[in-house]
Amino acid sequence: MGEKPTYKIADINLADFGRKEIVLAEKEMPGLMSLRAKYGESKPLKGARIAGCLHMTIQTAVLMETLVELGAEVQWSSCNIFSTQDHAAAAMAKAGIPVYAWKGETDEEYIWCIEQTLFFKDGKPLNMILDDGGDLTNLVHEKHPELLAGIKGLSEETTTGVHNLEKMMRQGKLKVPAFNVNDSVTKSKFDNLYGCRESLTDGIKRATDIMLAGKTCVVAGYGDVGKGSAKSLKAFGARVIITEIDPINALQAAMEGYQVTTMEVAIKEGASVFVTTTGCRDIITGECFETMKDDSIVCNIGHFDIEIDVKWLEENAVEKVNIKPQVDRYTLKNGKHVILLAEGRLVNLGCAMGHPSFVMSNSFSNQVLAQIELWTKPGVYPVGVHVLPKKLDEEVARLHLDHLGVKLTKLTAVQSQYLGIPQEGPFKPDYYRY
Amino acid sequence: MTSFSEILQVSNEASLVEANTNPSGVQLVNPYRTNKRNSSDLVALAQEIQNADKFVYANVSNKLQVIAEQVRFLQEQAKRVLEEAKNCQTLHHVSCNFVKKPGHIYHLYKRPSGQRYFSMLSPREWGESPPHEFEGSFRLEQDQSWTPVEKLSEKDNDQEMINKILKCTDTLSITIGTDME
Repeated sequence: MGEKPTYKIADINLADFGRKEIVLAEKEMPGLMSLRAKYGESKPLKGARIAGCLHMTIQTAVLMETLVELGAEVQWSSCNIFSTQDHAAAAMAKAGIPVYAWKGETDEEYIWCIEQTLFFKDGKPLNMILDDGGDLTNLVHEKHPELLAGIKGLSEETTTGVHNLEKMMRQGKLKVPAFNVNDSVTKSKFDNLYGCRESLTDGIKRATDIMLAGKTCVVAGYGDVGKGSAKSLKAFGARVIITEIDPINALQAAMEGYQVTTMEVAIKEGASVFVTTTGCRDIITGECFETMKDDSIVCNIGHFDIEIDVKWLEENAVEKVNIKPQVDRYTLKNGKHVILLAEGRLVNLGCAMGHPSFVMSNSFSNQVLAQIELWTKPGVYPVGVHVLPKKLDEEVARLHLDHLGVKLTKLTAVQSQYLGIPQEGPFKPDYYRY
Repeated sequence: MTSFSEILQVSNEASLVEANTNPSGVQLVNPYRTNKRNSSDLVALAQEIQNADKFVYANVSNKLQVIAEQVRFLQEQAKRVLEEAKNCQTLHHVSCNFVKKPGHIYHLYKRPSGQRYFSMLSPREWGESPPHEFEGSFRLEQDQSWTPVEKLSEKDNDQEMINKILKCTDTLSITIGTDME
């Protein structure tokens, strides 16, 4: 091996700009900042050498510096070859945190970056993993199994990574205790619902400048993402129609006052904005495109690009005009037009800025608490995939209340006894659905 | 335009000024007598012309020699500029996932498929065993040209010299300015 560079990023000169944005983000990430205030002194992560593999963005920078503030040594790579914000990476490098990430890596460089985070200064190996998507976890398990014995635990950010962990567990390949941060209530319930509630309409408006008031919009699917999407469209004054396959969700939508019907009927009702949130495939098909109102706007905030049949558009449209990046107008054989956003991929990422810092503060606070749990309580969590204890989930929410001026009511001793719930929580059983 | 060969082909015979039997309206009594000349006079004149021709030829050759050298130099320079431009263009069109920034060094590799691409990582950073064939490292300059790392110090020296000249010209123009006043 050649000697390891102290960092590898696109351009260190972007550090000052990165720092300015980090200062702004810190204000909107009260969870992480209160963890700093609470644990900054006691440094519970002292001795932890955390290798992190998670989108190297401004929000992640706030997470990294929180871990450092809590006593950890941190080395970082990004979990996507294009998601690094180079100014965020530069600010981290300038702050002395070894970071190996730049926007536009090759796949080989991506793995190289992850490998740089395994050994810390003086050749000491990592002893904690913070992962998003499972690539770091897999790399350590497959290529560096000798390091597993020294690793106290790992925390995983997202659905894909959690599925990977569960698969490894089933196959007996998982060798360290793992926390599934994704399924904390304060993570998935918040970024799916409230994150999308803000970023869907942000994306549609940045892309098309359309007035939503008075329009008829279709939201396919009424899960967390669908609920958030429908609510924000409705808040703009649009008439929202829901499509659902699940009677429970369909009833929920109806009880909220939405018309629930099939895509065919919704199109006949003259809808002109279509949003897919289902996580399924073939939601908007060629037949739908042909019958839609002229110049309908079609976008997806659910799952990859197969909810909308983009392939059909590409193969059957007479003409495709790129209006601006992420906005394409197709002319169909029947002369009608369809406006497709973000090529059918996630519209809130393609046409807007993804999740706001405040929502990320929720999931990252979960990450920090998971790391503290694993580091400070060795042996308590056996090898396997765990979710954070309800109490910590509640703690994450609590940390965000002050910033919003929320005043919490306290259970009295009598009330506590009456309900059979401790005064300080946890307040709900694990199966509670929120 | 006169060509060089024309100059060389001029006869070196001496020729005398045309005679006139009635100069300025005055009829010469005996033009033959008035124009009579010594036979050696013509030879002397011819010799003088021949000498002069030699000098002209030598002078012209000298001057043209310098120009010929300059032309050759310019030709070479033009060739080099074109070659450099072609190389730069090729490098700019090489596959690359990131936005390249002037002042940074990037590393060129070739995948087994034949695709060439720029990487942020040097063979050294790869631990001397890069995943693909290494083809060289280049620095992107402010003018979007590329300098191979082998020539970095040369280029930097040039730049330093240019910087010095730029500074000197400042002082020079100031001096010239005062002189002109």
